[in-house]
Amino acid sequence: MRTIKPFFIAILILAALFTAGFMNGQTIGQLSDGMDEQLQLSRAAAVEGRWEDATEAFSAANDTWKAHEAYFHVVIDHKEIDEMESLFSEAGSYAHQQDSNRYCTSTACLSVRLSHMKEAQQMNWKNIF
Amino acid sequence: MLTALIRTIILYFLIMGGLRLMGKRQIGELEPSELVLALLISDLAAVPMQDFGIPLFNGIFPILTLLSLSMILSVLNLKSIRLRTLICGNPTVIIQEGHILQKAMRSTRFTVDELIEELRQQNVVDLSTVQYAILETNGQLSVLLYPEHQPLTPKTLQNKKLADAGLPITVISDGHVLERNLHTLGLDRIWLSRKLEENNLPSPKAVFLMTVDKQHQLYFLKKE
Repeated sequence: MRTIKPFFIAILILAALFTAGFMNGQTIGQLSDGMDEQLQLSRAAAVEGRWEDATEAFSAANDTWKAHEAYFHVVIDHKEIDEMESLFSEAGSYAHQQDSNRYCTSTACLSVRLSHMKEAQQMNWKNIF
Repeated sequence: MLTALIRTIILYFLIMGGLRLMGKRQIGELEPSELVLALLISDLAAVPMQDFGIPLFNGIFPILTLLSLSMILSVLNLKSIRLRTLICGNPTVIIQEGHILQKAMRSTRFTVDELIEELRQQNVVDLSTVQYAILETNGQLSVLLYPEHQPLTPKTLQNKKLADAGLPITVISDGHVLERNLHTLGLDRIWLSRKLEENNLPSPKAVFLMTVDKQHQLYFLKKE
């Protein structure tokens, strides 16, 4: 029994790591999908010149990012986080200037970054090998 | 993160398999699984330590995975002789009854120069004094001299005639009978049952370790 105990502890740790990894993938996926959805709405509103709606949707995405900033720092490469933050800041200033071309380009870059962030945390053959 | 976990598992078995294929000489003093653990953990720990841009969890996650895998394998090693052989390999007899087994040397890629060097390190300069030399799973060479060349002990002073007990061979390991070793000694299950009965042992399961030498002298340790 004494030899079996560490075996089960190790199995439990592995199971906990698998669960944590899986949960992390799911959480990042849900958060990035949510932010991307808001950015897409914001882009569509900006193209139509509805800047109030565009700013509101963009703020929702930015708030989600800020609310989970600490979590992102724990699980994602810090360089990636810095780049995301500067893109959010850049898009925010274009929204303020109501420059739809630059705003759309900037938020499109953010959407791509978010999809990369989500993709990097998923378990698939491409990521493993 | 889950990708890092899967990658760690794959790398662990890949490096371990690679080291097993490399043979004993490359391993040095560590068992293959211990060496893999030492190599990987040191590297994994070094990266997040040096690069602050990498989250610490990226290092902790694979290290915990490695430690858990190592723990699981060490418990399974304890329970299964087959798995132990698969992971750690078997000791290889290089010199038997004074004869150098060239086939064994070729299979372990152990050269004559290395054999002589290892013997010299153990203060053995005359090959003809060596009865057995065994290349252990950790890459070290164990040497057993002929009785007349062995160091003097109070027991040998009492017996003028030196008994050649040879190399004790394990016949029961953690309750499992090692049939091959039993046959190597020219013994069988009937002999073993008789000896167990003589020593009031109900079955091999009650024995933790039993060794038998050339003189068929027993040494055993009951299971606690």
